[in-house]
Amino acid sequence: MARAIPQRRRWLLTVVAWAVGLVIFFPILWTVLTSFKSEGEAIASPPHFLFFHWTLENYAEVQQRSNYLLHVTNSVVISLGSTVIALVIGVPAAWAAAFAPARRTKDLLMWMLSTKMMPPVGVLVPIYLLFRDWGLLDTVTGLTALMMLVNLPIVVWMLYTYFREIPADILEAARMDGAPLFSEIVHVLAPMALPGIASTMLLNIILAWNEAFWTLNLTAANAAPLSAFIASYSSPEGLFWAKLSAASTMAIAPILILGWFSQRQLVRGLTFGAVK
Amino acid sequence: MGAIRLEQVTKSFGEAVVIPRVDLEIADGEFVVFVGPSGCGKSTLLRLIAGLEDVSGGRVVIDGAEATRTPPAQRGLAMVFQSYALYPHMSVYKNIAFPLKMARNEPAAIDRKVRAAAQTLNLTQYLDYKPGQLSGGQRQRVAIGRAIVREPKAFLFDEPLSNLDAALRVNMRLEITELHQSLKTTMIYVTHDQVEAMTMADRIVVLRAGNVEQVGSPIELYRAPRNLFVAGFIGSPQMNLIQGAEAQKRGAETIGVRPEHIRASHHAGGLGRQRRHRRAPRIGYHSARIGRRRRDGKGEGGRGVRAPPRPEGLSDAGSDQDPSLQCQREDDPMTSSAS
Repeated sequence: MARAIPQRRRWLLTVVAWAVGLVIFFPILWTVLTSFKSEGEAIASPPHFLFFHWTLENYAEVQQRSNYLLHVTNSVVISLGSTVIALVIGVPAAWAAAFAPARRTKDLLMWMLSTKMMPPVGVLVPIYLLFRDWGLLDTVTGLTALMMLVNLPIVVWMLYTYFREIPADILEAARMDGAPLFSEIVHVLAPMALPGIASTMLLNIILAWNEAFWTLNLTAANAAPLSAFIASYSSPEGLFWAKLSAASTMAIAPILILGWFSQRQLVRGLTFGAVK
Repeated sequence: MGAIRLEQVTKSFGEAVVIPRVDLEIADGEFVVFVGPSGCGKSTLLRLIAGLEDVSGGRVVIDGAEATRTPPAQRGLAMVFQSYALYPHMSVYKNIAFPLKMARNEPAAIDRKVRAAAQTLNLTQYLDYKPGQLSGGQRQRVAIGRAIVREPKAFLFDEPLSNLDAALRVNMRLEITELHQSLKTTMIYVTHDQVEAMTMADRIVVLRAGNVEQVGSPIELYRAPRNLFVAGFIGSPQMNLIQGAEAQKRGAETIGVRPEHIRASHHAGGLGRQRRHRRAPRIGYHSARIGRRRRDGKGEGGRGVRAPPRPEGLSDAGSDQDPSLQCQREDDPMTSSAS
């Protein structure tokens, strides 16, 4: 329902909204700006906001010193791969939880969620040892598998929530119409849950892309995705703010662009079912 | 072609027993209606036949073949749901074609069958529409179309008309009846609406709390209900169930009198002969209250007796005369000792 808001209040609200938005966005903006500064100007105090000597030398240097393309590829393979595999496992699992619940289904779902409540460092040693023994350290395969497992509870839960919004009647109709389980999921459930599946996919790509704990601990040179690549520009190399900023900008740019283009889908998926 | 037999079928969900035990035989080509108050297990029974629920015990036999463990897709039955359950992302055409596609029919055959079904159901001009763009009645027809293209052994209808408005419901009732006459396929129809049951069924199965109370043709159920529940459930307005002295006189605990067999009269006689009626009749559209209420509320007239509207020879209101019951068919009132 429309509510009348006085013109002055409207102005005020707009200004407040922009201010809040800017505060939230400021670190990213500052990182991007810093990436175009020389190392000297990056640490200047008081800081130069826009009026400094713009340069691309940090980007050139970062390119030279590390293999950006390799890390991007790793990030894409790991985040996309783990998400796709998680969906392949998660869709049937969520189907079962939503449409064929058993006595212990709720408990099982809670247990899955509980694994996300444990701090990851708690299982660092066993997982590290497993990776070492299985020869998975610093491999894209190992990290993809791990990211998939780490995000699987979230995937199953999100899909489960979306699937529960879908009337069971329609799936039963498909069953009566002679659809085997696979067709029921592919031809009927998936198209109807598409907004939910898409937002689950996007969110998990973002989560996997930004994951740093496991990537830092389990990768070195070969399988390091962008999150590990940024870290390599922090303290061990000395405090080169401008180069670190350039690396960060390059690391977040792809996911930022993905997020930008899919924001409508993301919002729609995340509020799916909230409004009938 | 489409004979269905239930042998000692039971169903429970956890602790809750929904169907204690049902034996039922449905002949090929029959139009059978399951009727009963909500929560009586009629939909569950239908879903057991469909295979959407597994029986807890007993056997389901379709066409003489054991089907108890057969998945729904392979039972050769088609179902029309209360919510229509159309696929919202598919056009009408694709909705109707879906079962044929699942059965791996040739594209040409699919097209022919879909168009023929659409023709029968007056849906030809809506084939490209999505279900969301159709009215309730049209959606229902699409759901029926999706069922008939499969040429099933039997149709299962789960309260298919309860989401439609009254006028449309009467039309669709007729259409489904006509469909049954032209296809001559077994139909099992679930409803809580006994008018639907009475007008459509060859045979009615009255259910209460998962038990079959009576099976018979509409007229059998109406004329000779086997117990008080059936007597009270079938017929609109409801049958008058009268207890007390009048019933005892006929050697029963309760007697039932259909409203249309009651005539209000100015002259003493019939059932009310021995009693003095002080109250003037209050004649509503469907009921006339005759008799006096005893203090304990158990008087025979106290519950109100349903009679046809405007009984002859009685003015609308204000009459101080003693009206009393006259049983038109004293030979045939239903008697029962059950309670």
